[in-house]
Amino acid sequence: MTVAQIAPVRVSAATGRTWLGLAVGALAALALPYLIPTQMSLLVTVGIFYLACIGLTPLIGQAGQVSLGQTLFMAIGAYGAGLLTLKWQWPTALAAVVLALFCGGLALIFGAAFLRLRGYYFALATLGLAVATAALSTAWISVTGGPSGMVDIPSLSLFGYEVFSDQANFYLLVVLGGIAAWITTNLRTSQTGRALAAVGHDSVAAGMLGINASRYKAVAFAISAMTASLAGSLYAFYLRFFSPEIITVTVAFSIVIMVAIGGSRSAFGPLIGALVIQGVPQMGQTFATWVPLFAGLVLIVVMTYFPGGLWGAIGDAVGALRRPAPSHAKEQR
Amino acid sequence: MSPLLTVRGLSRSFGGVAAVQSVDLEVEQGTIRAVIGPNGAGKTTLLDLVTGFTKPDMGTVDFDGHQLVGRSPRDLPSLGLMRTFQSARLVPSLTVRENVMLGAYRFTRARFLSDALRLPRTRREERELRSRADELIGFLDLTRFADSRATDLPAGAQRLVEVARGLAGAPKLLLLDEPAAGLDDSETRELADVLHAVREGGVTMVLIEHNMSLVLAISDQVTVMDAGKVIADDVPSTVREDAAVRKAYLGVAS
Repeated sequence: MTVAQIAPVRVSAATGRTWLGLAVGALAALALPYLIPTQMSLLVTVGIFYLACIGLTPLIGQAGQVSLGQTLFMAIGAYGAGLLTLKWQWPTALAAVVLALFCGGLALIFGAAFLRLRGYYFALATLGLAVATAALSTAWISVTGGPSGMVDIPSLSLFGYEVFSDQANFYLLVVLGGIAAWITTNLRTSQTGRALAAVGHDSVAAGMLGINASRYKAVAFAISAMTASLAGSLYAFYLRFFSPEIITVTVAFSIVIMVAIGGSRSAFGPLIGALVIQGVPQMGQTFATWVPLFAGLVLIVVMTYFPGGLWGAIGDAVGALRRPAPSHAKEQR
Repeated sequence: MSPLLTVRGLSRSFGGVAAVQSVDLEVEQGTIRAVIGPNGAGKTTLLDLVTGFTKPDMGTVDFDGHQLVGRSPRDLPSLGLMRTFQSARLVPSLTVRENVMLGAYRFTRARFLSDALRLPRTRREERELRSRADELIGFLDLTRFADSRATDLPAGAQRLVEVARGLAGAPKLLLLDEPAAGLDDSETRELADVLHAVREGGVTMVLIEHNMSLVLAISDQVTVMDAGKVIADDVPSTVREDAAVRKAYLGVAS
């Protein structure tokens, strides 16, 4: 490989363009409820799963560890929100925040135990969490309401305003999703993100730079747990109901599949993944039955041909179009 | 003035085979020490023992007043010790610049919360890290690669990136595991110039190396190992004439 053939990686876009993109995105988000009013519940669901997915990106995309445990933290966020608000009359927003912090702490504890495990064992251990979650949510009737679910959960109340309608829930999710995207992007482009990437690639070499691998992995796991808990709480407040069907092991897998399909190294990837996996079942009741199969096939195709996910593939395609011919590469630098 | 690094009676065997056998080594401040020897002589094991990747059966490693045996490799950067690896271990998803910025990890004070919210402390540190990395990248003549993915580079250039990453940690002692492997003659001469300049900057180095011309060109002291033992320890010109060394290592070349 000669020097000229090594193309520079896309440098971060000019700030002006970033702001333009954000403005366009915000306008689109504002307009969506008016453009497709019949699809609002889909958009809310996509927003909720986006939250569960975006928090996974530092863990999967940087630290290189797959967690199937998102349904556990969604369950804690959802059932916890129901219990705290129904039994102890906590304000809804406070319950969501406290549960998210609790899940972060819980993930640090689990992480300390699980992340000592090498290779795929972390993913297997978190699969155990997903299985236990599905079993407990069904069997622990006194707490969760069992198979028939928990009912009468209140809507989220925010600064005296009840977030009840689909539209209100959607706007709230756009704001929270935007904040989560901003935070994970900040992490990715900072020394924390670089350290996480080093840990994910080669924790021994990372150690020689002074990086504490297990601490970084545990924190990435905690971030995933916090957004999952928040997603669970918001889901429960939105549906005003929660049941074991929402947090099956299949759902645990589909969250990871959303991240994998979309791509875990950008804030947009999980959005694409959530849209694909949540949007396809809307195409018809009969089709919904086949969703797990569809998800599996898409996953196989994406992982085989676009390991960076769909968003990564788009980025590569744009990069290839923009990239000057190799003979001119030298002048470009 | 006491040596920066003092190794005493360092031994380690693997399954009954002595990989390193009571090795003594002293590295004076501001010098370049080469460790040479045939394959399997125990050079890399010696480096692994010094840096805590492998635990010694016996012996002590004193670095700048700190006992290194029993310490985690993770503590070494903050004591002022950095190392490179025989085959570069750069982060593939990061650019050359980002890899070098990571070398200064021990100076980063901003942590998760500051980075997550991009607080002023993080912004300031990012600027400092970046300009420091660009300086080192320029120093090693890698500027044209700064925005390339590190692992897209040829193996020789990757090793230079590792040297830059090691220097980003502003070490007192830099341990280099075969930095010239995979470099052609002109690149090796460039590397020799770079290492000279690094030493002028006050960084002490221990260099594990196969490339004799590099060793003879830049080192102040040469340790020759064979079968886990030190068989010679002297200035380059004397080592070159040593009969045992010629037999063990230079035999083919003489």
